[in-house]
Amino acid sequence: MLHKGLTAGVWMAAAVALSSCNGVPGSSDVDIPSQRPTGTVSGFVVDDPIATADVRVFAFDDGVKGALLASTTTDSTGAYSLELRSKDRPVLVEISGGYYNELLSGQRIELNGAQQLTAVSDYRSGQPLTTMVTPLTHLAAALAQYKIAQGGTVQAAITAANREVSQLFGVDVVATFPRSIAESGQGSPLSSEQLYGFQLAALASWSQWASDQNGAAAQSTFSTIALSQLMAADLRADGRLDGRGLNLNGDGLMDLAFGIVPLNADFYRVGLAQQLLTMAAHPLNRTAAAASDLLPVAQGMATRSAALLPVPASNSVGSFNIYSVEPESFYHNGTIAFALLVDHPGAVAAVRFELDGLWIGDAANPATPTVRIDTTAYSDGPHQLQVTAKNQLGDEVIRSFTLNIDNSAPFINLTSAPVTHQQDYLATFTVGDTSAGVWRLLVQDKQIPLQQGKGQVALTLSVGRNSIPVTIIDLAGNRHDTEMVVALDQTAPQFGAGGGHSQAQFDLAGTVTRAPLQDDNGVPLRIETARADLAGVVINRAALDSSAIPYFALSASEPLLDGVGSGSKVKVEARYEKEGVAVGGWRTVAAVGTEYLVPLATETLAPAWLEATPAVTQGVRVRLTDEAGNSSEKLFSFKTSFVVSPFTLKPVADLGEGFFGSTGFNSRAGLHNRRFAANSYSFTNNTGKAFYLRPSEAASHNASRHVETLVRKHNVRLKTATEWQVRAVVSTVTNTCPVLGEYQAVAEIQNHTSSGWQAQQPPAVVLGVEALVSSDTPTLPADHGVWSNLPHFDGEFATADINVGEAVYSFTFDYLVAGDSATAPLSPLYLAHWTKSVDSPGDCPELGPLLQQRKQYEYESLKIGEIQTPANFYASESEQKGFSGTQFTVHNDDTDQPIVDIAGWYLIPANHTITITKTLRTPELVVDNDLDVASASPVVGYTPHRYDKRIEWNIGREITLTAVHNAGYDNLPAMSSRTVTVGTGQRQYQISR
Amino acid sequence: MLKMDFRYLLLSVCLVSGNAFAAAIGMPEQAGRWGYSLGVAYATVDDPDAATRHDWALRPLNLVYTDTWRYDTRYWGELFYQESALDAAPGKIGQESRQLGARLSLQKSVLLSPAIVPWLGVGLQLSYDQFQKRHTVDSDGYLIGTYPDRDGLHATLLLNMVLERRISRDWGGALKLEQAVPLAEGVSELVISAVLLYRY
Repeated sequence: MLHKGLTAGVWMAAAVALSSCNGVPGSSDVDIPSQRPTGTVSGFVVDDPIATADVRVFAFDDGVKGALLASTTTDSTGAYSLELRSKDRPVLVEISGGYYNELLSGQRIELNGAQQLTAVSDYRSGQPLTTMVTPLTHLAAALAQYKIAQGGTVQAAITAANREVSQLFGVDVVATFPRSIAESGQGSPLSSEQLYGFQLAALASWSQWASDQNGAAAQSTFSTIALSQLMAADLRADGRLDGRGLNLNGDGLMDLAFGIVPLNADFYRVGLAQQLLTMAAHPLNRTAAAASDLLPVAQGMATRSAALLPVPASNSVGSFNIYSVEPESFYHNGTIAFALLVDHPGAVAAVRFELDGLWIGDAANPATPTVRIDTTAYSDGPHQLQVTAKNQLGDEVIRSFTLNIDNSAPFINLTSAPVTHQQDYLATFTVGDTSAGVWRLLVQDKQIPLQQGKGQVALTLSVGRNSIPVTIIDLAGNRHDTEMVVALDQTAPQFGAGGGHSQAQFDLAGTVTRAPLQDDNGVPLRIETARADLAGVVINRAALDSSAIPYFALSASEPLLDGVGSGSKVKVEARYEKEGVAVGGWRTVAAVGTEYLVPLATETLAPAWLEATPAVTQGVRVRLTDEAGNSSEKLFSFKTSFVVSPFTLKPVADLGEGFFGSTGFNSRAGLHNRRFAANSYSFTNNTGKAFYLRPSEAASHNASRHVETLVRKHNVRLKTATEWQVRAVVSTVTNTCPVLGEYQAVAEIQNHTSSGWQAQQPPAVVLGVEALVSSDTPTLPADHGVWSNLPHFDGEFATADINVGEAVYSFTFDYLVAGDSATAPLSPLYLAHWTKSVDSPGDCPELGPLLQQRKQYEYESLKIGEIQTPANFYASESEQKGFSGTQFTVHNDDTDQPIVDIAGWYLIPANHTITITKTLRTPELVVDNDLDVASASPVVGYTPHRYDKRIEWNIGREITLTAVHNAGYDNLPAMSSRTVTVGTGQRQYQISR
Repeated sequence: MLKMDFRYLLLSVCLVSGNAFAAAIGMPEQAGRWGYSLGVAYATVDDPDAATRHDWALRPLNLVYTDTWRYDTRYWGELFYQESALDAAPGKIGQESRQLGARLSLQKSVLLSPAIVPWLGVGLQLSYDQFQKRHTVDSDGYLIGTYPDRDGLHATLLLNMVLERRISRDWGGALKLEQAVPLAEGVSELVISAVLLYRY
C-alpha cells in the first residue's frame, strides 16, 4: 500500500511540474528572427538622363559581377529606386538599354546591347544608398575592376577608385546628382551638382566635336555613351587614362581612338578641360556659372598630377585653332577690323596681335577676337600679322596671316571661287582705294559697273589658268593695271590605289582563305563579330592590321593643268550602301598620310551592315570632290560572312549530386524515368554582339545496374556403359530342333568372320562432355537399361552338317559363347539356313539373333573450380542501358530570367552572362530485391536469384554549341556558324547498398 | 497549444497507476524499482532539409522503471517528455523539438572491479516528435526562410551505461550516460542523467 502511494506521488509530482511550468523546466523557446530590413538604393542614371534603362544591382563580393540582387527601370528623368534586402557588401549597379538625348545635338541615342554604365558602391544592410550611374561612375567602376585584378581587396579598390575619379573631376561622382547645365542656376554660381553637369556636358561637347571630325551624322555613332565605353576600357586595361586599351586579340595593349580622333592623355587632361570652358560659354548654359567660375576646375584638370594620368601635367599646347574670317591675301587699305574665329571660344583667355613683329593690340573679347589696323601707317605690300592666342589653361596657339596693304593705288579682290569647273564663270569681286575712291573699273577693257565697291562680270574661261586683265582708276587719277587669275578645271580628281587594300579573310563555302581585298569582292569576307567595330582602334594601317580589321585604301589625285590644280584640296567622302541603296549620308574621310582608309567597321559604315547575310552585296561608295567642284565616285563592294567570335566557357558544373545523392538505395525506383539537371555550362557573351545559340547533345550516357546473383549449379558428365545378354542354343545334336536356354550376361562372344572366329566385346564405357544441368538428380536418357536385339554384325556364318539317320541337316551358325562343356562347349547364339537331304524330320526354325544389348547411363557430378557440384554459387551480372532525353534550358544570369528559344535557337544578348542547364531523363531499370541472396539462404533453385547491389549512372559532359551571328532570325539558315564543343569525360554517380 | 496537448497526454499516462504500468511491461511489481532522472543533453536534430546545430538542453521529465530480467541482466524503461531549442546558424536550421515517448533498454552488469560494476545496455526509443519554428538565418542572424512544421513517430537506437550506488535499503542513486542515435530523422543526443531509484 505504501509502495502504491509513493508511486502515485511520483506521478503526481510530475503532473504538477508539467502543469505549473510554462513548458519543460529549463527549456527555452526559439524565437524566429525578423527578416533583414530592406534598404533603398536610388539615384539617377545620367549621360543626359537615360530613360527606360534596366537597372540591375549585383553582388560584387569578389570583385566580379555576382548574384543579381534587385532590378528596376529608370523613369523619364533617369531616376531609379529599388528595395534591396542584403547583407553589408559591395554592390555593382549596372544599367543597360534605354535612351537619352545628346545635350548638344539633341540626337536620340538608344543604348545598344554592348553599351552599359556602371557604378560600384558599398551597401550597408537596411540603410539607404544613393548611387548615381554616369560615365564618370563607369570610369570609377572600371578603375576598381583594374585594381581588383591587380590583387587589391574589393573594399579598398572601390573606395580608392571612387575617390581618385572624384578627385580628377572635382566632384563626388557617386553621391552627387549631376544637374544639367540647361537648368536655370540658383543659389551659388557653381554648385557641386552643376559642376557634375558641366563635366558631363564637356564629354558631350567633346564627343560632338569628335563626331564632326569623323564626318559622322551628329553623334549617331560617336556618341557620349560610346565615348564613355572607350574611356572605361582605357582605364580598365592599365588603370590609367592614357589612351591605351586592350587590343581586340585580348593579348596586349593598343592605342585607342574615337574613330579617327586618338585618345591620349592630352584628351583627358586638356581636351576635357577646354570643353568644360567651352560649355560655360555655350548658349545651352543656363546656370549662373561662367567660364571664370569653371576656370579653377579646368586648370586643375589640365595641370593635375593625378595617379590616373600617366605623365605630370605641363602646359602642353592645346588643340584649339584660330581661323581668319576672310580669305588670306586680301588687299586692305585704310583702317580695317581684322576678325578671327576660334574653334573653342570659351576656352580662349587672351589674343595678342602683332604686325610685322610689333604689338598692335589685344582682343577686347577673346571669344571673338578682332583688331583694328590703320593700314596707312604701313607700306604697301604684304605684311605678317601674327596672332597669339592663349587659352585659360595657359596653352598658346600662334598663327600668322598675310595681310596685303595697298594704299597707293586702287585694288581688286576676287570674292568668287578662284578655281571653277564652269566654263561660263561669273566672277564677283570687291574693289577699294585708299582715299579718293574708285572711279572706273575695266575688265578685259570693258567697263564694269560698281555698286558699293562690289561688281561682277561674266567670263568665258579656257581650261587652265586664265589671267583676266583688270584696270582700276581712282578718282585721283591713279591707274592700276593688274589681273584676276581664275582657273578652269574640268578634270575630275582621280582615284589611286594608295598603299593597297588590306588583307582580309574570305569565306568560300566554309573554306577560309586570306587574300587582299579587291575593289569588287564577290566572295564574302569572314568577319568575327568582336572585330566588327573599331572599338577604339586607331584608323591607320598598323592599328587596323594588328586588329585584323579589313579596310579599303585609296588615294586621290588631281592633274595639274597649266599650273592650276586642286589636288591637295580634294575632299574625300564615303557612304555605305546595301544592295545598292544608300544607308546614311556622306561622311568625310580623313587622310592618313597620303592615303585614305575606309575600315569595314560599324563606326565607318553603318549599324545596318551587321544585319547582312553572305548573299547581300554591300558597298562603300567614295566620292572625290576637288576645289573646282569636279567629282568622281567609285564603289568598293563586298559581302560579309559574320561569324561569332570565340567565347570562353567556365568549367562545366556537374549538377547530379543533389538528385542521386539524396536518394537511398531502397528508394532507387524513384530514380527511374525521372528528369534531372545533369550539367550546367556558363559563359559571358564578350563577343561584342548578340548571337543565336543552339546547344545540342554530344555525349552518351548510360546506367549500369550491378546485381548479385545466387544460383544452384550442377556440372555433370554422362557415363554410358553397354551390356550384352545372350540366350544360347542349348543343344543342336538331338532329334529335335534346338532349344534355347535363359538369357545370361556375357562379356564376350565369338563372331565368325571370313578369316575365322574372332572375339567380340560390348562397346567400352563412354564418357560424355561436361554440361550444366538444372537438377541435383538429372533424368537419365529414356533408353537407360532397355534391352534391344542387335542385328547381325557382318553376315558371315559358320556352317555345319548334322547327320540324323539318313538325313543330313545343314545349317549355319554364329556367335559362340562358352556353354555346357559336356554337351556344347561352345553354344551358338544364331542358327539359320537349315537344309536337309531328306524330308524327315523337317526343317527347324531359325534361331537368332539371340544377342541383346542395353545401355546403362549414369551422371557423374563434377566440380566447378574447387567446388563440388551441385552447390549454390554467388555471381555478378549487370544490366546496362543508355539513355538521353536531353533538354536544355538557357538562363540569363544578368536578368535572372530564362531565355525562351525559337525552334531551338536562343538569342544571347551581348555582355550578358548565360548559364545553360542540361537535363536528362533516367532510364527505367529492373528492380531486383530477392532477399534470398542477401540472407544466403541454402535453398535456392536453378533459376537465378537476383539482388541489386549497386547502380551507376555515367553522365557525359560534352555538348556542342552552335553560335550564329544575329543578323535577324530569318537569316539564320544563311549565316555561318561557330561550333564549340564543351565538356569532356563523364561524371559518375552511384548508389549502393 | 501543441505543447499543452503533450502535457495532457503525459498527464494521462501519469495518472495510470504504477502497478498497471509494471504489469503492462510484464514484470512483477514487487521486484522493480521506480525512479526519476534529471539530465542534460547535447542534442541535435537529424533534419531532412539541412544540418542543425548541437546545443545543450535540460531533460527534467523522465520516469524510470527497472527490474531484473536474469541474474546479471535487467531492463530499464523510461517514460519521458522533453524539449530542445536549437538556434539557427548559417546553413543550419533552427527549430524547437518536443518529444513524448518511451525507452526500453536491456542492460548487463559488467564487473570492471569490485567497486565498479557498471550496467551497459542497448535499447530502443519510440517517440512522437514535433519539430516547429524551423527556419534558417544568414550570417547576421536575419531570417532567410522558414520550413513547414513536421512531426512523426521515430525510432531511436540507445546505447547507455549506468553506474549505481545504493543509498539505503530501498533508495539508490545512479548516473546514466546515454547516446541516442535516431534511425531516421529524429533527435540525436548524448545525455548524462542523475537518477533517484526507489525499491518498493
